[in-house]
Amino acid sequence: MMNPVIKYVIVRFTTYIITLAVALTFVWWMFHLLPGDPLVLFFKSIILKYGSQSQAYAHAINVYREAFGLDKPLLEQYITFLTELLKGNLGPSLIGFPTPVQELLRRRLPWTIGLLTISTLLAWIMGIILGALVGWKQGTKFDKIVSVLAMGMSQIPFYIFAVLGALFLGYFLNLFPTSGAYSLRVTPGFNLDFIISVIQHGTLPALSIVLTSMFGWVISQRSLIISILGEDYLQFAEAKGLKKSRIFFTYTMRNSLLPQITALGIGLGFIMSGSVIVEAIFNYPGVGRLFSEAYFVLDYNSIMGFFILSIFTVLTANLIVDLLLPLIDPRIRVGG
Amino acid sequence: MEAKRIKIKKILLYPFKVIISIARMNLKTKIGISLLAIFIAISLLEPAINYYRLNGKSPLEIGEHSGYLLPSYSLPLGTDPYGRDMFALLLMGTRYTLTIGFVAGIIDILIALTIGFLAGYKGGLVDHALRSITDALLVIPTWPLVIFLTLYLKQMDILSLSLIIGIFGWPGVTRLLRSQVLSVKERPYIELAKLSGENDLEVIFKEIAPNVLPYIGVGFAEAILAAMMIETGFRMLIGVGPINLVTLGYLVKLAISQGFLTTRLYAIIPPILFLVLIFVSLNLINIGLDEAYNPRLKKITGI
Repeated sequence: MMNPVIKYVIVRFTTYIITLAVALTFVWWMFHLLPGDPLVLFFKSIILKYGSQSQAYAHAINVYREAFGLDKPLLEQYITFLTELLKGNLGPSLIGFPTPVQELLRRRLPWTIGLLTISTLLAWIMGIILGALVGWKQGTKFDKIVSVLAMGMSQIPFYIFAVLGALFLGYFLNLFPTSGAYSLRVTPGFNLDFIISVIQHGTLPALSIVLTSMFGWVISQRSLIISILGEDYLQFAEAKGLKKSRIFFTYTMRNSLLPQITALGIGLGFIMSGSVIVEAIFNYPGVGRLFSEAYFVLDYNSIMGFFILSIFTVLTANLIVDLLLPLIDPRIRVGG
Repeated sequence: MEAKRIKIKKILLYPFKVIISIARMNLKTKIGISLLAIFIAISLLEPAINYYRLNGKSPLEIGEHSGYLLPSYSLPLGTDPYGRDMFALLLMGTRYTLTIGFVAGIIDILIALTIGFLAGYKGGLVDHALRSITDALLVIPTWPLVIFLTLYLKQMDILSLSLIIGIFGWPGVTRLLRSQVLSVKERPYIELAKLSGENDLEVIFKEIAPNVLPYIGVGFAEAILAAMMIETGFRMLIGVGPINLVTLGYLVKLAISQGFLTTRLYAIIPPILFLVLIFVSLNLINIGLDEAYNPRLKKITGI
């Protein structure tokens, strides 16, 4: 009989690998099997725009196919893709030819992780605190106002906030820059000017994310707190005459944190796909921006690299949460 | 014959009855449905209104007026850079956005119903296989995927766009429906129905489906919402796509890319307002339905 903990880890890890493989395989084959040739359409649109000889165009397509290995049989391409992927090689990019895609991703990743992680965490912390207060004061005017506000705000897609934020805070009040990650006047590096510039440029994109996702957390935290307040052990705690603050922090907050940490972990997994729109709106030089740049020049490898990265992030975040949860919560003992 | 006709009539009237009964129950659903109904009415009347206002010309015709006109009595929102009537475009955009949402939403809910019911009801290996596929699709970022797939479209029109959005939007809804089917399936009356000789299809349609109906509604609203969000975000991202595919997202992007952001609020606020109101209305329906059929939630959210 195997140790149940080891068994759980093995099972969970196997599912992780299988899901990863299925998802990547699906995306890869879909891109290569779909009818219609984006390459031809792409070059046609270039010809329409700039005018060119069709001979040059046919030649360009061939060069392109060769450079990206698209002229080989599909199965061979797929196997090359997998073996190179295992080596950590995602192939040459077109945007920064011949820089490999993994290098491009590595350069962009800090910006995305910095912006999205910080704003997701900020939204989480603020949402949890506000939600807990609202749930604690359930039924009061404060609760009603915040709940209605949260209900409305959490459902509006964040890009609308992004546009409105850029409009009012960026253009009208001229408080924050609306494009890029730092001012061109400062030298990148560890100096005060650079850091201030980065913070200034990050404020608007971060604000639009925080504003929308925060209220989602408020709603879930509020319902969590209210359902905990109905539990028997809470009435017992009150009957014991414990201080209000102690009931709030030790009995209510602590118990609500566990599901919220799980949700946060899963939410952090989605930062890559979440970065596409926000980085496009604010010209932020992260991974999402790389995707839209790659889209416009039909950079297959970079697009695939983006998909690999975001699928990997989502699944890994889920795996970490699943593996850590039994450690944090004594109630979820594996195999019990 | 007569009995059959009454039965058909009953079936046809059933959805209306459901809507009426829900609208009676719950303020949020009521507001949501009325708000959505206004926008659906705008979309349905749009061809007629624009026909009348523009004397039979298409709102898409370029150079009808000069570009960048300010609002006036006959042009309530002025004109866009191509000299098109912005008010006409706004109405048209509402119709296109809603159409994409509904077509994609219908595709989503049909796939989700099939897979969700099959997985939830059959259980075992079928469930396991279907769930693995759903989970694998769930981790692929839908938004970038749809954006990328547009590269394969020979021309981007409303139907092909709704199709590719719809084909990848179902995993989330499927999950929701599957879990509901699973919980209903265990109830005692299902066992009873099976024992009294109903076959699988009868059990699914007569016993399970009516009990899952509110969640089908929730899933449908969610699917529509997600489809419209994808389309809007996508138009705002890839920028000014085909200028004849006028959706609300396109109008926002058009206003931004023409530098209207600072100078012409009347060009950018209306499409954003319409979008927000449509999103809010669907969400109200969603929350309202959820609460109406989930009394525990009602106590919790109780606003």
